[in-house]
Amino acid sequence: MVPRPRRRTIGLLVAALCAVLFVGFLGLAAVQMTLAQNQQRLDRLEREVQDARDYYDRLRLAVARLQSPDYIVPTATERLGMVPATSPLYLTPSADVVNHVAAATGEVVSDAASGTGAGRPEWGAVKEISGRAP
Amino acid sequence: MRRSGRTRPRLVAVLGVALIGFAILLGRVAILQTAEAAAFRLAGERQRVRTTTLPAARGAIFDRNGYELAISIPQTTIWADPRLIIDPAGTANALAPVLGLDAERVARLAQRLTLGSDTDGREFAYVARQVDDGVAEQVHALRLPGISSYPEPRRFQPSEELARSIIGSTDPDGRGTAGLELAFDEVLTGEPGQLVREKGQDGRTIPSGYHELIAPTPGDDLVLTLDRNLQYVTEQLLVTQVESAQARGGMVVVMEATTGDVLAMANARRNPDTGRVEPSSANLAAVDTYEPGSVAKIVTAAAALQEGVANSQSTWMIPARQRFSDHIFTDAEPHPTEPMTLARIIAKSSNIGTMTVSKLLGAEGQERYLRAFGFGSRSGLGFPGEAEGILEPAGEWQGTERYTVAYGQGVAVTAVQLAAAMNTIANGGTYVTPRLVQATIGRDGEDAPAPPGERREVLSPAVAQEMNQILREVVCRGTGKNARIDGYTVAGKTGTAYKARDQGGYADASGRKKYYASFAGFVPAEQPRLTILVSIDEPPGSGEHYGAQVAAPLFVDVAREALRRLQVPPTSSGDTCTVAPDQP
Repeated sequence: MVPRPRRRTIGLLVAALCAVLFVGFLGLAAVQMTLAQNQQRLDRLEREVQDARDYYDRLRLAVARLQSPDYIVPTATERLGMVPATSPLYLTPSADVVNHVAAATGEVVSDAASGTGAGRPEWGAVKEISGRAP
Repeated sequence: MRRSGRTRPRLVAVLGVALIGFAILLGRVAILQTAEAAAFRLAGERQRVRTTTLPAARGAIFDRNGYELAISIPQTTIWADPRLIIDPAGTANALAPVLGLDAERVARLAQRLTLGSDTDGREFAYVARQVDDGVAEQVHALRLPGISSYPEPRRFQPSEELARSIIGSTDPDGRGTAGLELAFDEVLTGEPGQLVREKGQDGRTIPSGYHELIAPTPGDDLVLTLDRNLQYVTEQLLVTQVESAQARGGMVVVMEATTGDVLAMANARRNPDTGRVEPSSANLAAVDTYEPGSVAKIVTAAAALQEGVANSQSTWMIPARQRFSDHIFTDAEPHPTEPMTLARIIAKSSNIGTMTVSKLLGAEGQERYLRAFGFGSRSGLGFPGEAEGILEPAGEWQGTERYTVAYGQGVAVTAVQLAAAMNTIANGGTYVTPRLVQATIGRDGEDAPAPPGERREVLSPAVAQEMNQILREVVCRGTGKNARIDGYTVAGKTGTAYKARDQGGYADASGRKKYYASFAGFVPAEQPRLTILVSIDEPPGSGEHYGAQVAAPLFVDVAREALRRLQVPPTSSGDTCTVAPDQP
């Protein structure tokens, strides 16, 4: 026969163990739930990143189409009644004026000149990022 | 007691059966855990592990200013699993209005959707590739069993037909099939990646499950030497000129003189079905050959100067008709027998005079210089299918060919070769290989400049300068007067060549001949920035068919646009020829 106080102690220990196990399982379930939620969030973010990339690409195409001479020239000539300049007037500013303007505005870059790369000012940085997988 | 005596064997029997059952179970577990473990593990992984191929973006093609000429954009490909399709004909009919299919294509689609059909109806069949978002959404809305989709990039040229003959095309799988898309396919094509992860039955990723990512490597971008806006204007001007000249087609090449960079290369052809002149899908300037005619006289004259057998003022008595070998040749313009300097021979484009000069060089000398100017070998442009042209060794020149090559008949070139030859004079006597690609942009976004075109000295700078003066005279007082541009000094040479017939010879049964009318020149002549070649294919045989009449005016229009685009200021106001000394 086990004495009454000892039986009580064992009972308390078993109850405590059960409580610890319950809390432990509850904790595990909570961790598992958090993991699942975060995984879902991660999946959703990946999809959003991909959608944003696709959207960027579609906008890029739309911008390229709007910038193309195939679109601009008929719009300018037929809808807006513009005519190309036939005799541009070239001005030859003195070196002092050129230096003054350059000092005030930084490098003087003309968008109209050929070979400036003006059409892709930030493409290098964008490509470096967009090339990465989500 | 009797009952308990019978119970014991029963219990033993039950225990035995249970033990045997347990042993079988244990054995099966042992087999599952050992011999068949790998197969079951694999089957489990197959159910959970999903491998997704991450497509690599094909590199874009930019013009020299960074404007997109070709880009790949994600589209949606609709596909079917015929195993899941109960009613192939009904499914095809439901898709028809959304995909715009006619009856014949609906029947073909229904056949593809039928499991075990002879076409490709297995587990996968294409329904429609690379459709836009609107169509994809309509297909999804139909909720047809067995019909699914996945993203797939499609190649777009935002400027539609612009420079199509140069850029080329890709197939639906994104592989280059023509033009620069083909020539630089390896550069433009990236390395696809892979995403491996475990997914549950609901398609969601299993948290902390197996996950492996191999990132795709995007293809490099190409930066071309072309100027998109100049290319557009050049194509428009060429189409208009070919149309108004009632010619069959034409080509224009615009090069930067010092670098050999091709700023514009336009090709146009009359569509035999519609009769309309359209930009050609073939880059005729690089792949088509023709006899250059009098433009090639620049080689003969330059060779004579370089070899020291003549100078620009060396004079010969030149008749309008003269026998060479067994044939009597005539100049295009009748004239009395008169003294002509080398400069005047070129200015007036005298065939007799050019052949006279050529005799001083000898056949081998003539051939050596034609090759030095780039005739008879690919220009180095790197364009797929680029032609070498035709230049037989001097020892194989037959009969009158010995003389006719001096003025550009009996030798065939591409427009690019002819432009590069003229550019040699513009560039102070140094031949520079034309190029179309300026740089590539790697996955890190950094520009990697393409190697500059190969250079070789063909003429001394002094001889090139002498030729420069002679060619200015062609424009000021010779056959090229129509190539004058107010404010700019132009140097160039006209050419009107007979066009060889497929059957041989130049004239048909009724004696009619076809022509190639050309003008090649550079501007501003004092400090050349641009070399431009214009060739018009088959201008009408009667009337205006000379290079001076149909090619030189187009040269002026293209040059004006190019000079404005490159912001090249005029060298003087008004006509630059009024101050040049007249030559006899």
